[in-house]
Amino acid sequence: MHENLLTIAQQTVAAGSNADSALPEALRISGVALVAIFIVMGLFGAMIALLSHVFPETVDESV
Amino acid sequence: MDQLLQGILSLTPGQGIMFAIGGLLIWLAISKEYEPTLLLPIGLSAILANIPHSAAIGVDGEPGILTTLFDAGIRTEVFPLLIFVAIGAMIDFGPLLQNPKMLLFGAAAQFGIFFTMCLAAALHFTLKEAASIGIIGAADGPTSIVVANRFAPHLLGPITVAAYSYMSLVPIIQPPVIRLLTTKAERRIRMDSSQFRPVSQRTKIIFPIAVSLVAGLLVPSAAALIGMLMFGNLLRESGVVDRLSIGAQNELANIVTLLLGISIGAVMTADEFLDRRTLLILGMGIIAFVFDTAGGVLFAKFLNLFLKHKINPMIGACGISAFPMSGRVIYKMGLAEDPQNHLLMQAISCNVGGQLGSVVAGGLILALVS
Repeated sequence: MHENLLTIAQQTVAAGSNADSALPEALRISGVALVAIFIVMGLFGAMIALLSHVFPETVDESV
Repeated sequence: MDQLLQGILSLTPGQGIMFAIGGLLIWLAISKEYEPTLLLPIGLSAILANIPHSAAIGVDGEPGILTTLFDAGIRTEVFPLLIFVAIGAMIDFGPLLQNPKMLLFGAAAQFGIFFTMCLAAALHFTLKEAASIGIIGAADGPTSIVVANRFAPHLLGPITVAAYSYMSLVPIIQPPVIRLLTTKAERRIRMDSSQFRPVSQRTKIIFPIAVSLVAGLLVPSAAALIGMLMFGNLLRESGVVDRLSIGAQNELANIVTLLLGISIGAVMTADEFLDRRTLLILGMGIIAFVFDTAGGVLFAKFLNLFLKHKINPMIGACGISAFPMSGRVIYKMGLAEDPQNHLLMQAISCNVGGQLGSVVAGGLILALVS
């Protein structure tokens, strides 16, 4: 009885670990992507600040 | 006589269900006005694609109109990219350029993409399928189509339907999430409009060029997505090709939207669409939108721990791409809490940042997953 339960548990764990094999990679990619997206958007922000500084608005050009 | 009856006699229960789903999409488009420009053609094409021996799909190995349009416009990614030209021509990046800090919310509110991607992976989808499902959270139809087409073309139907349906449901999905995560006092925070500094026309012209260049160099896989968006915006801001800008905003947008919608039906056949996984995808789509909203709101609350001039955390929810719907929702919520609290500029600038953020997120997923 105990052996049967152990076998079932082992099979369940094995099936779970095979099926979930994409999860660690998904977690890794998500972490990298979230950091990267903040960096890219931060760069865009810095670029806008730089452009606004180099090309300040004038009376004629104001939007 | 047999030939006349072959369609009826070959009808399967699955095809009958797809007729009902097509009818439901058409009903949502007409009665509820949920993204009618897309759900209406998608609904009819779903019906056409499921008629037994349908010439719309193809007969005797010869492609039909739906499969031809799909192969020409979606498999090649031409339609979604052309939609980006139209969107770029429609968007005024002015409010964002006047307050570039709002770009950060465009990053934070993409959290739902990655949360859902991990959830899908945990639910035994492959990594590429999980990424395609997660990108529903971009709240950006063309980006969802490009990523799904690249990674999981067999899931394109449910992903597209989920992306466009939930975009139209933003006024229903976002408010309860925001109320759950904020106090009444937080929702009544007034924001200083003096942070919006006028920008020159030259800045507005250089911005799309610089973004194309920077994003293309950093994330080359996003070059087509961002490049087309910025091309449309350059048409708008250059001031010398008004005819092209107006054409992109109207004729191009209308024609490509029509073709895109009708093409999606080609992958909505019963054998591909009616699957337990379709229900999971539709469910995870809502989760993606909920966690996008939560990501933006919680990020604003986090920033408020350090800021002297507090941000109304509702603004963070506009970092979701659904433009301009999300901005309008937050503006109305702000007025409902305090009739003197006008958050329109902040909401729209954040929402425009979300449009950029969703495209960058799509590009990052394309780069990292492949």
